[in-house]
Amino acid sequence: MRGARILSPLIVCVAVVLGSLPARTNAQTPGSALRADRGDKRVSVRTEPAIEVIDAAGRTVRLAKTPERIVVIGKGPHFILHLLYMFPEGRRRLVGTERRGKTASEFLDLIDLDFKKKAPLGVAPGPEAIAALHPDLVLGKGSSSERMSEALAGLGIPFVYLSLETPEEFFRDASNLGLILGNETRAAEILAFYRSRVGRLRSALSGIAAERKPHILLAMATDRGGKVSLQVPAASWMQTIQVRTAGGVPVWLDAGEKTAGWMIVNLEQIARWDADKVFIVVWHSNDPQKMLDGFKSDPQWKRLKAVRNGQLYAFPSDIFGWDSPDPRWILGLTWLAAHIHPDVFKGIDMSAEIRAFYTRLYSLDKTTIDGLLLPRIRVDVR
Amino acid sequence: MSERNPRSRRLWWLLGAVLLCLAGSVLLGRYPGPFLTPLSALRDDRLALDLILNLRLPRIAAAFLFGMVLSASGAVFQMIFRNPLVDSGFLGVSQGAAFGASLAIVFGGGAAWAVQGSAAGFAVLGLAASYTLARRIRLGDWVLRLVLAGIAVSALFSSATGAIKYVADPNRHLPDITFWMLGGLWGITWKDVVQVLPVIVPCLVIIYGLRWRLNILSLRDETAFSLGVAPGRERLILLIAAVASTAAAVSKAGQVAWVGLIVPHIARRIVGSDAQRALPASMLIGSVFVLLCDDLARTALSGEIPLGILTSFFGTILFLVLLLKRKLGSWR
Repeated sequence: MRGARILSPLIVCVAVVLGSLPARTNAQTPGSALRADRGDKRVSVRTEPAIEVIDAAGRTVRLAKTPERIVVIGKGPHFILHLLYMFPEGRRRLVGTERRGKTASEFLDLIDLDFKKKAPLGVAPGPEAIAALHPDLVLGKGSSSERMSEALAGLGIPFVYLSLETPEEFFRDASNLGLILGNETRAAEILAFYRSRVGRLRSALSGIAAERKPHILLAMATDRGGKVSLQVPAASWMQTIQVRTAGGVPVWLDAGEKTAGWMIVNLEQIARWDADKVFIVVWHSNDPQKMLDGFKSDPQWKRLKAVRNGQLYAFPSDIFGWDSPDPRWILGLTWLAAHIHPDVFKGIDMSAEIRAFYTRLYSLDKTTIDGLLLPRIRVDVR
Repeated sequence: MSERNPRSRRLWWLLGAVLLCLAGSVLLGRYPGPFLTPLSALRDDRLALDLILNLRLPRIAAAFLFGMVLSASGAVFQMIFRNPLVDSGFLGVSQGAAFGASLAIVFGGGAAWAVQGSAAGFAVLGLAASYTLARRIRLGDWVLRLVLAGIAVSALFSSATGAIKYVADPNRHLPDITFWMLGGLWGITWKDVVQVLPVIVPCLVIIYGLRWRLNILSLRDETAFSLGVAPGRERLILLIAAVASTAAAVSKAGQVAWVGLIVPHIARRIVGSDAQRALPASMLIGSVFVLLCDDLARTALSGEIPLGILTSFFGTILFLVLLLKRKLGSWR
């Protein structure tokens, strides 16, 4: 009797432990061996994966076939969606996306009438909610992606992490998407569009000595918690890269290197930097002209070199800003170069650049661009 | 010479230290170079003078005032509740303010008046909720009931704030909420200082004027009553003054932790536990503590360091020092 009392819980514990061990399935390892019983012998038939990519997290992801049902999750899902929608297969095969605010739908509704029909996932969806959409690929961005990829792997759903934070990462992610969607030709077109413009800027700026490059301050103005604050981006972020690539010297590098995000700076520090040109990123819900007028009328701001010389600008945007990892970064970079070195880039026509961007990358027609996008573009606010 | 004189003299030394810190803070900043601003810059550089008058001075004034408020409130709470580990976060005040600010940021458009008004309103509501709940609890004496009610109300506001953060836009609202909760004086102007003065000054006057009553109010109700004090009413007056001034400070500065908890202990170490000296000492030390932390926040790096991080960091270190040196006794 006593023996049974000791053994019973032990047996239960062992059963629980054995039951919690993950069962191996073919879905977890798409390229794994298929085992077939042939009498007393087991025969292994190895199949190679159809698609293999190394994603932004350095993980090797293998897909048995081109995915037909794609779900997008993560922080800032609109960054991935805007890249995905450059591929016709991407917009057709998207079945669901995490919805964080209204940001994604403000643009994609214009180019895809069926976007609203894509299944919305709540903020930070769990693996079960994602699995309910039966995806055969999940695309994600953000720090929680690693945990999610492990959870989805247990369900046999492949996960590809995208970064998009720098031009090089954007090119790699676009190439990966082309490979995944089976349309490397389209990926090559997209990369050619971006690389031609970046190459043009670099070529024109190659002859300019470092000491001739203007000192630039790029800061985001936000009414954070009710108070207007100015924040500089991290040294590794797209905004800093844009300024450098456009031929400017970012004055905030010592501050930006100490943070992985935006860092608030006060006016004393801004006065100490006293940059030659100042570009203010204004959140789309704020009026950039009003924001700039507020700075220009401030007696302390009036003493800054950039304000005295009329070199205070609002960074342009349309529905989305041109300064973030959104694919619009190429427009922001081009615009920035034209304003940092106006003599070098006086031939740049921003209207033509905007039309080319939306026509070639999103296949938008003139009516949509002129009627819905151009009225929302805020360029040359100073 | 009696023992009281050295302790009273220490108050004057503290006052001297405060004045020295105030003067030094005016010359600390990032312009024209990091840390020290030369006196010649005040004469020759108009921008330097403007920055000092319009940016540094209001910020120094705010740090000074808010430090006094938080530490005075902490001293009041610790004596009234007879608990050395109590501060403004104890009665749902800080958590209520955080909830109010989060609500205004996410659902109220984030305008300055909305955030600050909501923070102040919910801070006071936190106290009112704790007090109302305490009156309905039938367990232990009044202090214990208020402590329990405060814990429950604080937890409720914390969970509500968590829910707001969960639904907040991660690109826009969540960073705003996070930064508000870390605390900071980077946007303070003279207008902000003037707005809080009508609340903070009368409250500090009330607390300072009634400081000697705190010694009696920290006793049991029966003992206090026998000494001629109406404990319920006088505690309520002091609590309202403490919470109202804290709410005003928190509405402008966000959450600045550990000041109300640790500074009264330091004050009692220096001048003893008699509230007649301990309270003014708390106010002076609190003002210096927050002032020095804010000096560091705005001068150490090119970017601003949230004030709440520095007060928590240095407050924790001081707390550990006090714990390791000797027991945290003699708080009343």
